[in-house]
Amino acid sequence: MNADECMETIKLTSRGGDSFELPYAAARLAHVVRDANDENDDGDIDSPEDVEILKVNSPCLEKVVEFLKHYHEEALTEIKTPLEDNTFEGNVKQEWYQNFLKGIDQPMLFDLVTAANFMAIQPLLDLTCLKVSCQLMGKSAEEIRQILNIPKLTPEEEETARRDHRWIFDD
Amino acid sequence: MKTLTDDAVLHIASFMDTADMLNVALTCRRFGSAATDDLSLMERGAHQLIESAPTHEKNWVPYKKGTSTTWIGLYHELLKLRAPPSFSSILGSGINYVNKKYHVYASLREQYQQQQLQQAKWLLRRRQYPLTKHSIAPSSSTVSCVAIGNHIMSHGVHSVKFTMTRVEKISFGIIRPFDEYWVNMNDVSCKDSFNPFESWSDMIDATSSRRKNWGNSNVHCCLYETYPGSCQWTDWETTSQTIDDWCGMEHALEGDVGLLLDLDEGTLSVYKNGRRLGIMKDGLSGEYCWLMSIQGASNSTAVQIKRGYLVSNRV
Repeated sequence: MNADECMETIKLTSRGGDSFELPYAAARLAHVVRDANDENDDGDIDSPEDVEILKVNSPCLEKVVEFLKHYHEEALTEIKTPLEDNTFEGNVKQEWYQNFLKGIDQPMLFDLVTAANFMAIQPLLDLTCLKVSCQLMGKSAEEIRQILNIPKLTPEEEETARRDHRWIFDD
Repeated sequence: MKTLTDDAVLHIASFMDTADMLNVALTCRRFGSAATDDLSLMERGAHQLIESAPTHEKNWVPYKKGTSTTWIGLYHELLKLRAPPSFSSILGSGINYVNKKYHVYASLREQYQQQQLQQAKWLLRRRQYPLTKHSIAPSSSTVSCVAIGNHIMSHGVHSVKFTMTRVEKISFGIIRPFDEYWVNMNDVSCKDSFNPFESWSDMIDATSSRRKNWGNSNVHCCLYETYPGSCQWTDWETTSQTIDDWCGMEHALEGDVGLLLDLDEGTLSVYKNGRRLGIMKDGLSGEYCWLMSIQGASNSTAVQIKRGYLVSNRV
């Protein structure tokens, strides 16, 4: 059967053992799901099976499944680079996708980036990485360090970094 | 950010401009070290962005062996060349921006032309000027103005198209880049006339700190004169100025003039309304900027600069 027209549902199971059900046609956006079901290059499969996503925790997998279901109904418009705007909303015009990441905390955002990368869901990776990029745009190194919870450089390390990248201070 | 994999960090970097990449690079060694044996994530990100650029853009990147240039720095140079061409500097009091600075128009100032007209009428009244139809216009030696492009080109193939709204004694070509501080000190408000072929001492001052990037070529300024179509070029160090005819030479009294600068081959080709006339000058190397020069214009002239089509001379 052709996977794109498959009406069957499968369950994705998280590290915590929680399962989330969704149509296979939506789940197959994740390459990890396609690979687990031995989907061939023509998109043909025998019968879709459930997949364990042991590297992703339950709250994050729930968000990923929410994304997959919606994407199947309304695809994310491609994010073009160079960016048209330095705000997330300026680059993602679709309201559902704007709201999808609204109000989530930093650990959850990073978990989503990691899950999208591990599950090979390109549109989710684009969306979440854009969100992180927009949070960092226009910020100083010190502000970025606070956002990312990175320890401060020693004065020697900072001097080395500035020497390495002197060109931008000369511009 | 420690929880993010390297791939994810590189993807985040792909949405950033170089100023933001630099600030991330300054946060820690994982993101920022420019050590060549172990590239940091932002350096790898910049490298990947350069590698994923179209071939003709990759060829623009000014790799310099043996220097400490970083990948973020090189990507910064690529982004500057990817920006639309504009006139970033204008010199000579007879020229001004029609619109905002980066709206890429330049024209002769009406006020300046009125002054020129008054001077010519005064000369006529005193019978010190021949009474002919052409004598009203300021002579070519009275004023010279230039507009210099924003791109500093040293590698690869670059093309540009100039569109003129009126026919004047106007020339298009290339010039060595100026020192930024010199341009800022000598902007339109304090320079009456600026001729890149005659202002020898100015040229040496204007380019002093950038002379290490001139390469082997002694062609420091080279212009296509729209009338009669000849090639005018100069070597500032010997203060020699040459006007050459060239194979395919034609005048261009209206429409578009296109230039194609091939810094791999060291040539400058001329296009007239999209038709290739030929290679006007060879033996070019080192850094150049686009240049427009107007001398003794009599009417309001506007010139627009746009990116041209990249058509290789190499068949």
